[in-house]
Amino acid sequence: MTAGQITSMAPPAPPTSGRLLVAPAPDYLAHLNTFGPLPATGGPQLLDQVRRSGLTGRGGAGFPTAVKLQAVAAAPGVAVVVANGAEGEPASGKDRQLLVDTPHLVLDGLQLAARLTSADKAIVYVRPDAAQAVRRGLAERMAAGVDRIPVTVVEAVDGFVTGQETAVVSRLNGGPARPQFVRVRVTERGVDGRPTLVQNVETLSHLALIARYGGAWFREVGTSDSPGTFLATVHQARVGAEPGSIWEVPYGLPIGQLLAASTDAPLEHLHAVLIGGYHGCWLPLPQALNAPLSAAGLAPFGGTLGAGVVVPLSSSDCGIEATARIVRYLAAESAQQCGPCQFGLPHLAGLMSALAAAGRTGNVGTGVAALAALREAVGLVEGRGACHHPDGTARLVRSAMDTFESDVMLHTQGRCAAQTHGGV
Amino acid sequence: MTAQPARQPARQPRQNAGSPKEKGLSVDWTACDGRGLCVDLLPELLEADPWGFPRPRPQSAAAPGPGGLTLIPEGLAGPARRAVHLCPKLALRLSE
Repeated sequence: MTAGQITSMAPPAPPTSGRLLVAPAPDYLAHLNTFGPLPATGGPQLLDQVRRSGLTGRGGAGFPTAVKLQAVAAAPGVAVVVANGAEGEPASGKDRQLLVDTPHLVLDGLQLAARLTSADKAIVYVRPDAAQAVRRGLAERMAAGVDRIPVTVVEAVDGFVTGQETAVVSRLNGGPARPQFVRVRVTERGVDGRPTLVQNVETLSHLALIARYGGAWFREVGTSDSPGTFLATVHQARVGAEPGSIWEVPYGLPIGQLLAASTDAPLEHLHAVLIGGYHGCWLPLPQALNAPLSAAGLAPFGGTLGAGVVVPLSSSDCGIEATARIVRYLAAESAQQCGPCQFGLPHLAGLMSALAAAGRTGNVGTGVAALAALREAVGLVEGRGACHHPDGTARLVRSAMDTFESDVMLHTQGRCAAQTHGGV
Repeated sequence: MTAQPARQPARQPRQNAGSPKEKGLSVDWTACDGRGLCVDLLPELLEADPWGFPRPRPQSAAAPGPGGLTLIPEGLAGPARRAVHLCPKLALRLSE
């Protein structure tokens, strides 16, 4: 699964009428015909609407957008705003789809973010396969003379951790696209040492809609705790399946409803679902079918939505094998800066692979030893890095141990319930 | 320190009035390369993980914040400062 494979075809009809991916074409005229021009609402009024909307960051962390905007606006110095479209998570395709299909919504949001933080510089940090769409959009806007703040495009470096906030700032300052250990938040000191807002491109798109339709409109769908919609990348439960399809989902929709609409496998053939991507959590099926897709709905399962990646696992596939494959990938994606991540993640990957292999080879001893070592090894990486890469990896392993508990026990006995060893 | 129960009620109010936040040790993980000097100097608080990187001993309280390692009990403020000054990678810091 690579970042560049997602087709730019229109998404399948979402479970509810969509908000973000509704313009018939990516050009500026289509954008205007769909959403109308950007209103000239002043900063304080607009911030009030954002606060009322309850908008949260869509890059994975889910931080309240109004709070972040305020922090940057209040910090001394002239701010810089960055639209983050790095999308380093290989299982996610929604940011690319958004940038390619409706770049003007993102670019509107970037101008609004600049207005809200009194920034005089704006940057789109974007994965290379979406850069052309952004440049085309910017050329149209320049011809139309709509943007107050000049925008530059910087292509993101490929890699899982390159979209992390401090990695983005480092790269934009001419350094490596690797997470940095910072004592002062980038909202205070970021690009050029100035207060910096790094905001996911989907978040900016929602901002562009809130400016037009208001905070109360935004809350008309979703739940009171998690208002609005989010973009999900939903995969098929097949080994080596094609890239996922993009869905706009109201928060609170039961997992089963999204899966019923999006996957071609019957729900009773699904064993588990990975929510939140490679740093996410496995949820057991059918137990989690009624769990609402929201922070509160996933909390009982120890999960979060992350950046909206949904990967179902067929009951013919081995969840331990699938997890081992992801952990090997995550270990390889370590920036090799922090010891516990550099050494701990390959250690975790090795143990997870050994546990997975024990189910195939029938070697009881290695499975038991790997399980005991795994339990200790997750604690060796948690909270011990400049970014959350080790924490996210540990979370995935922990959730696999819980959700696939009976499979884990089978593997320690040298057996495996799955017919194939694939998935994800 | 067998007199601990008697000591705490007598001293804590004054101590808290002076510094609302306890001092902690934090580590810049991107700078630390696991030389282990801090573990040698603060064996009461730190131990080495399997790769030589410092981690708090199970009984020492973890410090919050970026790179938060462990809180520094009153009696170890001196050795903790020494460990910070002697870290060859300048990775260890005092934090509020």
